Amino acid sequence: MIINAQQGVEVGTEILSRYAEKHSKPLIIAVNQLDHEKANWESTLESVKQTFGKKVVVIQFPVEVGPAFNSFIDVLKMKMYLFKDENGTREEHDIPANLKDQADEYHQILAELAAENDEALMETFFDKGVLTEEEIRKGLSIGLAQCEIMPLFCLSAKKDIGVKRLMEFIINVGPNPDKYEQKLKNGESVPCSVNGQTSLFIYKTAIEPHIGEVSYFRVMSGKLTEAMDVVNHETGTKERISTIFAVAGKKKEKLTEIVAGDIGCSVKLKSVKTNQTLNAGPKEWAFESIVFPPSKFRTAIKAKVEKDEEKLGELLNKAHSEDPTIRVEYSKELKQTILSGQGEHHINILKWHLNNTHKIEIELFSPKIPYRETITKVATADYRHRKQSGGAGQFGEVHLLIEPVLEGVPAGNRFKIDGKELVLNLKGKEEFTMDWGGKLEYYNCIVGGAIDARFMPAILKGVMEKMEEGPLTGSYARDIRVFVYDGKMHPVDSNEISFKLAGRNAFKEAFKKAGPKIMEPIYNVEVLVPSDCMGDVMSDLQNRRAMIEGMSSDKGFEIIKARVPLAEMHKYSTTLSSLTSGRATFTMTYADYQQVPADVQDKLLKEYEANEKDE
Amino acid sequence: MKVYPTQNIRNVVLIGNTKSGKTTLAETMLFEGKVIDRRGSVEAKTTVSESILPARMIL
Ligand SMILES: Nc1nc2c(ncn2[C@@H]2O[C@H](COP(=O)(O)OP(=O)(O)OP(=O)(O)O)[C@@H](O)[C@H]2O)c(=O)[nH]1
Repeated sequence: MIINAQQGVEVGTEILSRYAEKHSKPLIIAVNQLDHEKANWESTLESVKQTFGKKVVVIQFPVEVGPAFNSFIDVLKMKMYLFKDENGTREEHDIPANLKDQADEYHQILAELAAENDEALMETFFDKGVLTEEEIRKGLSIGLAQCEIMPLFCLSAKKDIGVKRLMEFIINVGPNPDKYEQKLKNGESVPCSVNGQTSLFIYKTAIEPHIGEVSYFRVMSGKLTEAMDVVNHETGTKERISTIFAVAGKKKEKLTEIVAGDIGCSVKLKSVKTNQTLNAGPKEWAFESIVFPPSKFRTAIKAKVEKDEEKLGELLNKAHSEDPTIRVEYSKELKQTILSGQGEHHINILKWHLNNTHKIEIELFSPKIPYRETITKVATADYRHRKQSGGAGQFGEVHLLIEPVLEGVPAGNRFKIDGKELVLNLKGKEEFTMDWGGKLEYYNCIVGGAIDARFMPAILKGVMEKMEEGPLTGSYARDIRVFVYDGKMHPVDSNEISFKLAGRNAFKEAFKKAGPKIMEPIYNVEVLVPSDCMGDVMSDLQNRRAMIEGMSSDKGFEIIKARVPLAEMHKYSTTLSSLTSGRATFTMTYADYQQVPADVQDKLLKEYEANEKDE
Repeated sequence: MKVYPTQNIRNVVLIGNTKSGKTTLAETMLFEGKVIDRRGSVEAKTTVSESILPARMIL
């Protein structure tokens, strides 16, 4: 973890360290830019200790900071390192007398913390009151691997001061890959050992100029040699790794062999994707996927000119395979392509590439909201469809009753309509679960052959059409019972199309009388916000019709839990970021559907009517 | 290039707030590890990590 000595602990430091903690990854703290004129050692160390507490163990402290920074005291080696140039040339000196006391003090703390990680060391430490360098290293190594300690180092990356010493420490004390069990998807784990079956985990793919598709992998187990055959656990596809490269930026160096724990890349594999495992043996291992963060920003996207649509689709899919936090989905319901990513800026970078690298003009706009429609009370409607303009006529008449489907309330057969009692004879029942959630129940209550049974499916079809394109706003309708209880036929003119239309319109009329409501998707939103920004974030949430469900605090942060309508969440990540200077994070997951308030419903109805007239 | 045995491998990730010096540290580490013989600078956009940026930045 690199800390800028001009700033001390920053937002990114906090956010990243939470990830490291969550995944149990050891952290070494490198205080960088100590040569900068604005560098402040004391305040930086203070902020580090405040954030990470007792785990922090100072391995080095600078003799002087700012442009004169050219040396530091290493309390593990008990030496002063002095740098003569900006190329890492260093000299080892004894610790100057005026810094000896402080060095001894830090050394003592270091030895004690190191001892705490191992019983044998603890005993030695109690007996002798000191530990050798070797013993301290051993203790630190255990403590680091278990994330019990965070050793702290001094650096100027720019002037190459302290970098080599940090690398030595990583080599001498940092844990080997074989210290860690590697989890498989099925819960078992596999050691990172050269003796196991050869297995590769793809952690990234990219398309690079002049090379094409490059697959980056880590050797999880065994060793990979040139021209080895492996099988993709997910697709069953056989791949030959004909060349192996070690990577350093653009530079790729050919290897003949690479062993467990190392990372490398290969080219021209047939079809591998991030998160897939390639095995060179009978064991069908599948390593746990990298979990990419949920999207924080959604937008609808389309090409400005229609002929670019196909190319845009391909490019977006490619973008997703290179950066899985970019997600693309075509919504059949909204009839829009929805693009989502980590924030507005993330999406704008993609937009820039589409415009400039691929010369495609695109448009981003707010996605439609997948509203639902339902009813709240009982209503009836009669509709007669008749057409007699030359040729064969059309005739169908349908009387139906509708009521809401309420969880746990079975359909009755007695209804009160305008003060009059209506008793139905429930004969046939069909029940459908809609693709978009909710139900439709369809009851045949025809008595005395008012409508032939053969027309019932046509009436249902008409109703279904209106369920799919709801009477209020054209959104999907849900949770409705339909009772067809009467009607009329014409001996010649009645046919399926007539009954479909009659059913559809009767349903539409009844729907409008049945206390119709628009429902909107509600999301569970959880915001992690620094306590000092709490007020602004709360009042912004209230303006978004949020229902605050709970608050709790954790290490200077507040966690706000709220239910917020999706319609109010557009560009939330951008607003939250500007309210908190990027220090807050949030997640949102779909919760359920709820009725919109009356004023919002009015607005939506007017918008839909205006649109209908346009078309 | 040499084959490194597992015990000699360290999987390291440089993390830090923006502008803390990740790119510069990576460059200096590669220099110290003799992977490169000259250090590039962030300002001149000549660092090793910078050169893969176009690839890293989607598409
Ligand atoms: N004085 C001084 N400047 C440094 C040091 N390390 C980095 N810088 C400067 O700080 C700026 C940011 O450094 P980078 O290495 O790009 O930092 P980064 O963390 O990779 O930045 P992002 O990729 O933007 O997050 C650059 O102008 C560097 O030259 C250092 O040790 N001392």
